[in-house]
Amino acid sequence: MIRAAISAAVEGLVLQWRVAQIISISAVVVLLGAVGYSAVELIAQQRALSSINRETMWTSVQLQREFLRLQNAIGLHAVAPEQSTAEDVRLQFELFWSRVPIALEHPSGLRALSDPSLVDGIRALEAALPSLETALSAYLTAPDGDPTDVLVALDRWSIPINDAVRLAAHDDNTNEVLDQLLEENVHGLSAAFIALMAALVLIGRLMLELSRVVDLRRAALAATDKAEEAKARLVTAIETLDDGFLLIDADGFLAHANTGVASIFPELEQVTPGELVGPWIRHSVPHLVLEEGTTVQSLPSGRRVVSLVATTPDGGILGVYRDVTEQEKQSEERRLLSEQLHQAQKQEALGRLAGGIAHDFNNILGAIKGFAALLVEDMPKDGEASSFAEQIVLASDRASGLVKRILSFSRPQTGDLEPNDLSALVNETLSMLKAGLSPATILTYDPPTGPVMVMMDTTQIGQVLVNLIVNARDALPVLGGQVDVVVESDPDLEAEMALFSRPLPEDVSSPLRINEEADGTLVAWFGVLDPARSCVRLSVRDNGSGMDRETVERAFDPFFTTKGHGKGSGLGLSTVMGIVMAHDGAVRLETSMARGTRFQLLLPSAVEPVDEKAVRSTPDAVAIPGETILIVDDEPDLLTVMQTGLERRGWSVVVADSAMQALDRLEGVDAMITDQTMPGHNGTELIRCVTLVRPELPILLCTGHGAVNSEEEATDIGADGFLRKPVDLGELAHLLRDRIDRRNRGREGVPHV
Amino acid sequence: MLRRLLLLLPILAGMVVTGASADGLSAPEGSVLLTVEGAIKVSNQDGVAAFDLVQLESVVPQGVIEEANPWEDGTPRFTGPVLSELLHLIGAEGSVLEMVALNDYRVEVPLSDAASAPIILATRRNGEAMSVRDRGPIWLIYPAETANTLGQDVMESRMIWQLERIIVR
Repeated sequence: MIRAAISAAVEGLVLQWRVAQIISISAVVVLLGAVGYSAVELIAQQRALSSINRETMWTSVQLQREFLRLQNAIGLHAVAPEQSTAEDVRLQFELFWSRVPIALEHPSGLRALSDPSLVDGIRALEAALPSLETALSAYLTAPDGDPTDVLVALDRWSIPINDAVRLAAHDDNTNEVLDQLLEENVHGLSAAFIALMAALVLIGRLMLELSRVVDLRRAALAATDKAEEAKARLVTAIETLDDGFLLIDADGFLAHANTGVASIFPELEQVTPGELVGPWIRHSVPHLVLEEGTTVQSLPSGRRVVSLVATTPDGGILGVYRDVTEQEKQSEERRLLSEQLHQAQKQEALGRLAGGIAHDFNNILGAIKGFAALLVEDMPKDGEASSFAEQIVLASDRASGLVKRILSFSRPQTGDLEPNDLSALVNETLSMLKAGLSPATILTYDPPTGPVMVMMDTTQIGQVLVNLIVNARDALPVLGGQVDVVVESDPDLEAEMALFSRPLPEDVSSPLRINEEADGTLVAWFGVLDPARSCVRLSVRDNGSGMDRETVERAFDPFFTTKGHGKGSGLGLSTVMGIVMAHDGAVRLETSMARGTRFQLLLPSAVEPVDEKAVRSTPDAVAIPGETILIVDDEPDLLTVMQTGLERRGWSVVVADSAMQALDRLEGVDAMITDQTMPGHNGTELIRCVTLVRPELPILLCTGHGAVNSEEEATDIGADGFLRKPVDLGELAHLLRDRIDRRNRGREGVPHV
Repeated sequence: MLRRLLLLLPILAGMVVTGASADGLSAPEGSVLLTVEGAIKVSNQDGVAAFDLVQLESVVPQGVIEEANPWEDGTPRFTGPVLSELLHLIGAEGSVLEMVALNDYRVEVPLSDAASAPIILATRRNGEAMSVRDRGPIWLIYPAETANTLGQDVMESRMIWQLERIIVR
């Protein structure tokens, strides 16, 4: 805009100068013409005048001189009347004569004199010349002639001749003055001419200079344009940067601040380039780093900023500011995710390992328990030995419970909620965790009197318990502390129910709500309980460091951890929250920096507790004589236990240690019991083959750990019953009896009584 | 200037030879009209080359100039010896010719004038010999075109009449 105005002004100036140039050159040329013309005229006039004057004067003087010479010659002749003097007189008379017509007729003769009347006198002289010649000739020829008459006759012409000379001299003098005046005029005109020429040269020179100036100016404007263009490109580039860019010159004036820097330091929006910001900026934008070097800082707004500040060669300050808040957050999340993945992989590996061990351990336990059970059967009921054998069976049961726990960690989660004994779960989990606690930590468990049945996924609730106890342990002082675990089957929950029955506010993104009580204890809870259902309560209390409000607010956020890098995944409590919500349960958290933390898990009770002892108290099942059972297992001990157990109940038993062997020995059997995990073909494959050949044959599947985990899955692959290892012989016999009877009823159409 | 006519007439070339003596120039028989002295090689009278009218009109090639001049009416026909031929005849060597008139009026003419233009020593106007009262007997006449190189004033100032003597320097 400004540049266009300047350009227009320059072009206007050029036009004005061009017009001035034309006008001044024209004026000078016209003046030069006038001066030249005047000078030429004056010079011609002067020359004419001087020539006329000189010649007129000369003519008159010549006339006078010849007149005087004639008189002298006559005088000489009078003194010496000889032939030679006579000849001289004649020559002088001839010469005098020759002067008269010249004086009269020549243009620069006497006619040019200021008084033409003089010419008349000379003309009379001309007319008198022949008579003078006659008189002179008479004098010269007469012996002893007297020159007086001739001289007198001549003398009367001296007056007009002298007058002519005088007048010519006067005229010459006058004209001399005029001539000088003319000459001065010519000089003046010459001076004017020279001055005008000089002016012309000067104007030409000025024009040349101006045209150079204009050219330079245009070049400068073009250069300015280019510079502006380059600057605009640079500014655009700087503006499109995500980074903040700030340039302050050596005198403290703001050269440039892009939108990026203003978004980081909003105070900079108040200033514009060209403003003096030096003292102001240090005072009003205190967090803006202007010291040379690389600085990483946290702003009060929570943003993380990396500042790169350099000094420019001219002493200014160049700063580049990068907001790395998001970048750091993402990198932290990535780090946590990778840590979590790593953790998960570790757990999976551990699980596989544990599963493998558990499988073998289960088989051994199965043998121990089976043989112990046979001992119990063989011994007198009241004897001490029988009681020892029963202890072995019970110990085996506990051991198998532990294995089951371990297996549940390596097994994929099913998500199915089934009635299970929470107390047993806690017992098993704690016995597993005890090894991981430091000796200084006291872990107490206050179990309820009987089983506490809860609709739950034992794996998930076990994980919740593990997470809570690990958190409690980590919150304890190094010198040791106490963790108390309590399970209550029918707690007094009136206060809690009032809390938890409130519906969730819809506008709250997190279901967590927090209250601060009068004594400074923070109470946080989430979840909604159905008031119509009874609940069980699992409490985990520690006397550790407790949590402040900020920690409580974020305690259930994924990836939030107070344990430091590498120690915790930050997923523990968020997992707890997810699992408890999936169980329609609730969590109540009380924490105080002074007293530690207490977590309460509230889970809905199962409607009907299953009484396992009722099952066990039913009379033992026995064989119908003649029935033959095929048992398939790769573990010889287990084969022996099951074979012995079934044979004692009256069955004939055929054994096979592989699927291939089993197919060979199918002939004549009334039922088949098979292990799932075997070398070669596994139980599932064996069942598929057998059902093709003997579709009516009852098949029971035994499994310790593997693909089949439930009755439904077993049925899906063609089995009629499912037993978990280690197998309880009584249970096996009952199931076998039931399945054979069911087959027989189906075949004969007669109900078995 | 249509009437300007310049004719160079080498008349009676043979007479140039016959009029010349053994040493180049015979003594004048009539009254002497013109004497040439100074740096000359040929003389006929005490180291001076003297010419009478016959000699002037016979031993030197003649020239004719029939042009207007400021002192005459119309275009008189002047005839007479060509100056350069005359100077050549007497072996004049130098740079300046001092021309002297009967009344002792003098004018200097550069020798180069004679070399560059057919200047004549006019002895006759319209065929008539010129008397002293009529600016005779010899009038140095320049061709009018000489004014182009010398300038009118200079040319006119050198057209001396009543010429009597030439001194070669």
